[in-house]
Amino acid sequence: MRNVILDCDPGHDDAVSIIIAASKKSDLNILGITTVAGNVEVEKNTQNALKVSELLKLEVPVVQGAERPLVKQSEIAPEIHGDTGMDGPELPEPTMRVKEGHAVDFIIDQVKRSKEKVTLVPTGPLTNIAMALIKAPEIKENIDEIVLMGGGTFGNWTPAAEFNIYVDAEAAKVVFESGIPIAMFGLDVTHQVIATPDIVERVGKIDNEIAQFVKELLIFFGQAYKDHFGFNGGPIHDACTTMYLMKPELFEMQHLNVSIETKGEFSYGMTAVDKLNVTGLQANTHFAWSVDQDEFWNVFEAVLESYGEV
Amino acid sequence: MTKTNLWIDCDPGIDDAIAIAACAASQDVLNVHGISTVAGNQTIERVTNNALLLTDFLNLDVPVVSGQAGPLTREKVDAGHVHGTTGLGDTVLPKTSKTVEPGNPIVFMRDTIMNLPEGEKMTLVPVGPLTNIALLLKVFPEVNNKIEKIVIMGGGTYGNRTPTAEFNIWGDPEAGKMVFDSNLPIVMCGLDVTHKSGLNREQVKELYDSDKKIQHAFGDMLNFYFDSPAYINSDLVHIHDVVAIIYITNPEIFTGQQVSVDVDCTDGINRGMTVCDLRHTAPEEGRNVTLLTDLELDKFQKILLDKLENL
Repeated sequence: MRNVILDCDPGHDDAVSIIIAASKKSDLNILGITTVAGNVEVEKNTQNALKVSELLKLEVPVVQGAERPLVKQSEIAPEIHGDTGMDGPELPEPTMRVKEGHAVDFIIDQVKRSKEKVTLVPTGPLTNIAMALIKAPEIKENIDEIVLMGGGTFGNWTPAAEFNIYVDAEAAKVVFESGIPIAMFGLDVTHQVIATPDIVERVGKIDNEIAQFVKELLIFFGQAYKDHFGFNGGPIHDACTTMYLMKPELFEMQHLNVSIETKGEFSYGMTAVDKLNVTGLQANTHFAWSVDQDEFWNVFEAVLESYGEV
Repeated sequence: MTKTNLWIDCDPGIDDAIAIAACAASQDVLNVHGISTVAGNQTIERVTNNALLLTDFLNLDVPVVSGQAGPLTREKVDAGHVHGTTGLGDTVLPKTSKTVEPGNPIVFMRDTIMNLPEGEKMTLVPVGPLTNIALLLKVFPEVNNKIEKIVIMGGGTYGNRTPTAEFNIWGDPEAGKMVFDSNLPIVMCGLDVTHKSGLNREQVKELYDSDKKIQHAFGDMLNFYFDSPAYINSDLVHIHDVVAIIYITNPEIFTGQQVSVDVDCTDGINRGMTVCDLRHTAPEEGRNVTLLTDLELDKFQKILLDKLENL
């Protein structure tokens, strides 16, 4: 089993990612869920993480993290995720409580204590991860990989930058320059997993509580993506990370160098992907170009069905 | 049919040389008014000399003016290794007695454009750094109304000089910004399309084996590319600059989309990047750039080879 910490800002697609990770189909040992300011304010993201954990009966620590980026002011995306950060499905107020302490200390502590190496799975801005690496650089040795959603060769929040990296580009720079192996799922691949009305219908036919929750998520998310980006459904960006941990063979990857632009007037927060190897810089990232879409949705369906099995 | 009025701005360069050859072979549809040179692939002295040698070699009787020796605000960096000892690979063209037009090159360009008959406009084809074009638009804004469009070889959604910047735009980002911000209609023949174009080894060999001196010379230049490390495992040699000319003579074989473009001039890693807004929701306003994304390769090859054959 692979030890993972899910560092996230749920978030419709973060929730889907957690659902994949927590399913019996995956072989992941979730050490905890840490939250970060991103899609909405960190308190709301934490509340959503607790709600999803409770729904999944996932008894792992949920720890709140950074409420703002390292250098810049906060920037949030309520127009995509709604005021609560996870608008759409109605979930009861959680009885589970957030674990005391700060996500950064939790990450450091868990990585240090783990006998096996830990995989970090950030699906929001990289603030917590960067802070942990700055505060306790020695943890690098016990992190086997950072599997993240962010960036790409084009943008969504600006023409050049994807939201997660844009929100805290300085943190991203720390992470990409850390020397830890990175598997990166940017817009190039995440825009290939759009939950179109056909997909939502398939999910809706699965008769269990979790699948029905996912259906509600996808309906809200799909409408937001239609309204704001002109898409025929919501791309479940973050789910690529946990799907990759479960089925890496679905993805076409290239080992290359990615650097983070923190100065550009028009390209601030862009991940510069050296696909032609013109810089001669050492490859630091396994970059996902594409995914077997049919198989992705088949596996996704099987994951959701598994929640109905006793 | 009226011919397209053309001004070529270049830094020859092997691919520039073939672009000039394609112009020389297209005079049934193109009226080439002149060539300005700009430092880019090589020093201004060398690219200007090459422009003179090429026009003479091709019997293309047009004025050549020697333009800017370096970018607007920075020191110049050249790409000597890509274009060989003469800048045309190692190909040596016959000597020429042709000389550049005297006087200020930007004034010469302005006069040529303004002297077009009423109702006619100029298509500018810059295939090097945009220094001359930026100066022309800045110093003589009256030319705006006499410019049909600017067909640029440069930029794209990714880079070859850096991960995000293409060589020509990287060579003078500030000039690039001035041109892209001009709001004139621009066609960007960037790497997205030029990397899908070119000739294959067999086609280049046929040129090289030709007993006609012009075809042989261009085959020789393209062999220089094929022998370089970048192409050692490739069956397609890209001839970036000629794509701009073929676009003008045969736009029907290309596909593209209207986008807005900002050129990043900051000192970060994306300096010289043409930032294209590809989002569905990008504002309609400001989409003055046709970003070429694809072409029909077999038709492109046939058109180019036919042109070269007719020289």
